Amino acid sequence: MSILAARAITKSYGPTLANDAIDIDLAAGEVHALLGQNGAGKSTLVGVLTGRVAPDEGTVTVGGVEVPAGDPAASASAGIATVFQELMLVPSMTGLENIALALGLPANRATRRRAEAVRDEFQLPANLDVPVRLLGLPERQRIELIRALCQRPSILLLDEPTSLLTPTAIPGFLAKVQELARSGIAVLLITHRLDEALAIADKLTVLRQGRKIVTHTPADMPSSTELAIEMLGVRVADHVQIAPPAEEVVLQVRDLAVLDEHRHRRVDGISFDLRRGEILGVAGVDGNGQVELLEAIVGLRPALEGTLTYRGSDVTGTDYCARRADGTQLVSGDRQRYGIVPTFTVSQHFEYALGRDVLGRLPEILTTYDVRPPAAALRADRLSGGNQQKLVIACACERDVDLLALAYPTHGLDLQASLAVRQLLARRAAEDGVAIVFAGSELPELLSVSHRVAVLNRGRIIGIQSRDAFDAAELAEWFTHTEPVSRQAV
Amino acid sequence: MALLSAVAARSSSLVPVTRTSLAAASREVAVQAAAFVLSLGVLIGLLALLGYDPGSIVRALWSGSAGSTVSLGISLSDAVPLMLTGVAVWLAAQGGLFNIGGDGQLQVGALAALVVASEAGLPDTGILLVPLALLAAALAGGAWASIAGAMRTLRGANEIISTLMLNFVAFITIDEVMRGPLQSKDNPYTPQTDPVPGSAQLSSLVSGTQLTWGFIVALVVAVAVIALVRTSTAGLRLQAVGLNRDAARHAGLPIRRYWFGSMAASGVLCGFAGGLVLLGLRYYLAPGWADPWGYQGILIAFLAMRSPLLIPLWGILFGMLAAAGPVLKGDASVPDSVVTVMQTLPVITLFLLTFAFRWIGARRAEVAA
Amino acid sequence: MVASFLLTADFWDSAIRVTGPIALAAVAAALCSRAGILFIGIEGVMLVAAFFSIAGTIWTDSVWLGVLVAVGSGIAASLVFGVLSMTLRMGDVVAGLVVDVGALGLTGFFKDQWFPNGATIGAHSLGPLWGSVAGGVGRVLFHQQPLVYAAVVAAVLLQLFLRTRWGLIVRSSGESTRVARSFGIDLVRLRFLVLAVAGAIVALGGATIGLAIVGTFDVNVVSGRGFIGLACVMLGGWRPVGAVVAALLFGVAYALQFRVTGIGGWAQLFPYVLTLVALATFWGRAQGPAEEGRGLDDDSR
Repeated sequence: MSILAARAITKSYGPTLANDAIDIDLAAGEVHALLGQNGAGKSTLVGVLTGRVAPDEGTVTVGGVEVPAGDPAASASAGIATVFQELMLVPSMTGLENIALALGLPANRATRRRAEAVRDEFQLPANLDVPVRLLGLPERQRIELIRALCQRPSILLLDEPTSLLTPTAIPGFLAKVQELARSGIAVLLITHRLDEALAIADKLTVLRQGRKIVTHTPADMPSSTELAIEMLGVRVADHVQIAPPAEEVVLQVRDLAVLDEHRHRRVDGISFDLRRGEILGVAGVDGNGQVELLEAIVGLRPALEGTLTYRGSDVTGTDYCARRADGTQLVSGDRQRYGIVPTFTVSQHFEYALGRDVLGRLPEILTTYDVRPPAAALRADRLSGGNQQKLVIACACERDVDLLALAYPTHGLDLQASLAVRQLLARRAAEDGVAIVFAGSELPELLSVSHRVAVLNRGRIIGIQSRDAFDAAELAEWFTHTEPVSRQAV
Repeated sequence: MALLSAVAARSSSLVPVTRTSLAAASREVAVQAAAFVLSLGVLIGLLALLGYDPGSIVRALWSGSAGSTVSLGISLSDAVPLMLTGVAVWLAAQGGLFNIGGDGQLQVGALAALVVASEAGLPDTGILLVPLALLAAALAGGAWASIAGAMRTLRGANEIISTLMLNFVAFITIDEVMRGPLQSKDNPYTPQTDPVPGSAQLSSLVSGTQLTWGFIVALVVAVAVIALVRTSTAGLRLQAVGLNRDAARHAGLPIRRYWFGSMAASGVLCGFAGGLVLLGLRYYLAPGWADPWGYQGILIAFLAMRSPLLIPLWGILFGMLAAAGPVLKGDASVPDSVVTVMQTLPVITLFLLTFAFRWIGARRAEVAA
Repeated sequence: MVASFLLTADFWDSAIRVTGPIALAAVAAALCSRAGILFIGIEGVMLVAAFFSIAGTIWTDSVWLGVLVAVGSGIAASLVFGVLSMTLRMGDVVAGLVVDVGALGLTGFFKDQWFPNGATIGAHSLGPLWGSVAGGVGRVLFHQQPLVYAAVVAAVLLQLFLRTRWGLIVRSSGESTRVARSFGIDLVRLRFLVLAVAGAIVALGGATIGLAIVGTFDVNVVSGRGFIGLACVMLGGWRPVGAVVAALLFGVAYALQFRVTGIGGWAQLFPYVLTLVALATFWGRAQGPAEEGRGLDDDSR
């Protein structure tokens, strides 16, 4: 008997269809896992369920009663509580104050008693009396959980709850989640970690590119490989022509370890070589250290351990400005944030990034990179996403660049635009000998353009396959491995 | 930072001259002109409601600001600091910073000019004194702003607060200096300094008026700075830093260097303005010697944020208003504080117009959907 | 002795007298800061209130009604700041300067318009509420203008308020609009409310200047005390009571100039320099409310 039923939830942002007629049912006492890569539409669906996003179409009912759309307070009073991935805590307030804020109560003794009762009942140890910014992430998360449970919810949404936890803390947390469900709460566990979902979920729903792919019931639980394929897509990506790389090693990474903002070891002992003209695809479930790895190899993030050797010289401690001057470049798929300067024209993007000399060759460059329309005086924020991405890549490549690191460069692009971007990368590698590290969410996409694909999990390389021996099923299986499959030379 | 990106988002870049950008530029000019005319109309209307004679107000405004060579000279002299502080604020805003310390930088600049011209014991020739005094003024203003720039780049300290605090430090320092170390020998009982020597005073541009060639210098510097920022690659990079810091960092720009540089340059302009005012208009320091040119510069900069070449024009308009104040009081018996009120009206009108356009646009989109 | 005056009641009397309006401004600015508003318009609001305290006293022939008029005008001016900053999206700094400059012009205009012969009431109309109190310390503590006590009371109340349900909501507006919005809080309405309260408190400060310190309205009679209030917030670590203590520091520095010849005037620099040092060292980056002065329009990204 489902307590929450969402029907035909549809939401688009401009041309992007974030949710396309999605149905989902949650039942009391069950853990329902919602899986999908970044951009699959999980966050939008959670936003709709919590009243923070008003859907274009579709309804949410709780206990048969429709919940008014786009009203967080209505969702909360319908019994939906949420623990968000980017924790909704005011950093300078204490745990108690944060809980009081959410409950609309003063931070007094009565509120404390209530919070402590929940804390003890569910055994969620947390210090409620210091500003939460002084606490570690697991403890902050427990405070969020206490806060959510103080509302005595019938439905609990957990948005990527384990992304903030250290590997050792995860099993305990998952057990806790199961326990909560057993106490009669309907739990929706949003995640992109297959092993976790399989470990505790009673039902599994997979989203990809805004659509619901499947809902598994206990009767037809998939294997992790099947699940990975559902999540990553099975379509054969368009083939992209690539040329064999040169012998010369451009970048040598040895035993690299990197910390993230929360001082977690996001990259943990990675080694590989990258040759001139080679494209290395970095695959894996999102959030397993891909971005941190790229930022570290270009110098935007300091290396905690290990060495980086670039064209024969040690560049481990060198910052990004200097590395960039020496032919290194990072390109992010978050174009709005890292690529496009609002109001700047296409030509101004080239001028500010590369200097004025490049302007003479501009028409030719725009043709080469297939930026449409090839109008130098057009404002870049008016271009489509794919053309913005081509522009950003052109700005990155139209100089002596030897090492190009791309983080999800096809993010949010349609199939054709994504193919165009990959073809572009293949040409730069073949014609100019650029060495490319390409982190992507979609496995077929990586397979289509890479000489080698490395699978990352928990900051380590699980294995690397070369183009002549690509085996998508095996790669997908590696996504859930925690130990390297072999000690093969990389 | 959102505040700053909001500021920056309002500024836009000098797009290559195309038909669309020309249309945009002329629309911008039209909106600004409308803002000025509307605010003037509102002001006169309100005064008429209070029983003042609109005819004599208009006559007084005209005769006080541009009706004669003398009054025009006063107007343009008052515009000298405003053009420079306006450009200074605009310049810092290009990189995403707020310099609200223009007044302090201007006063420190004036003090430096005074010390060099009167106290340094340099040979008493204008050819030497004037450039050295102006150079000292610019450097002092730049150094003063650099304190805020360094605090921002090295310590992340909010430059709005630090420049505001530095204003007060400058004001108190100037006030104490004119009562202590630089107290006038001839007027030992009033807090003021001696005037700068005649050779250091800027010579007149049009005889019989206040106007010195400082006006030309200020105008040229203001236009040159705007043109430099809008046409050079370094200027474009500064704008990129202001408009999207993350993208600029990915493009390998040293953000902090741009911040520090733009803040220092902003201070140089304000300090230079102080030098010009001291050598060309006021000649000595006394309590209340400076109008709040820095604050007015902020209003001017935000009026003309999207079309900076209008900054000198707004400076002149503000100068004309200031010059008309006494005449307004004398001829039309209107309290001269209306001039101060009038300084705020164009900004309000401009934002009201923008608000109205946005509202109409939203309604249209609604209707269309 | 160099510093023997520090022990005299006279010195502390005058120091606290100067502190009064600054402290009120500081409390109001602290409230705004905690709600995420950088209240640059505070100087103008204070000036408007100072003017209307005197005008109201002249019109109604009652000092307390004058205070009431001042409070009303302060709230109105403060809401104008809100409209300019939030509704018209000028941002706190530009809106603040418009209010400051506009207040300077308007008060000057209405003074000439309504009181062509000067707006003067008997000096120190708003004196201590009761007769003389004997004894140095007793006099310093218990024989001040009533609004000085208002500053202390307001600071303590505000500090307590920040722990209540509504206080937490105000703080969430200052620390994280993202979180505040996630609870469905209407931040615009909240900030207008905060501005109204802050306007009333600043107005008491303005009235203190008008009625208790100067007794006559002069152009720019506030002369930066509102801005100093902003500095006090920072120096006081964004805590209302701390801000009042910082205000006392400014008051003492101001009073020093009349006690110490020669370097006395320079002593005024001390609190400003201290604020700058504080800003550059121990709480430059992280101490203040994260949303202060950021505005509301573009954090949806």
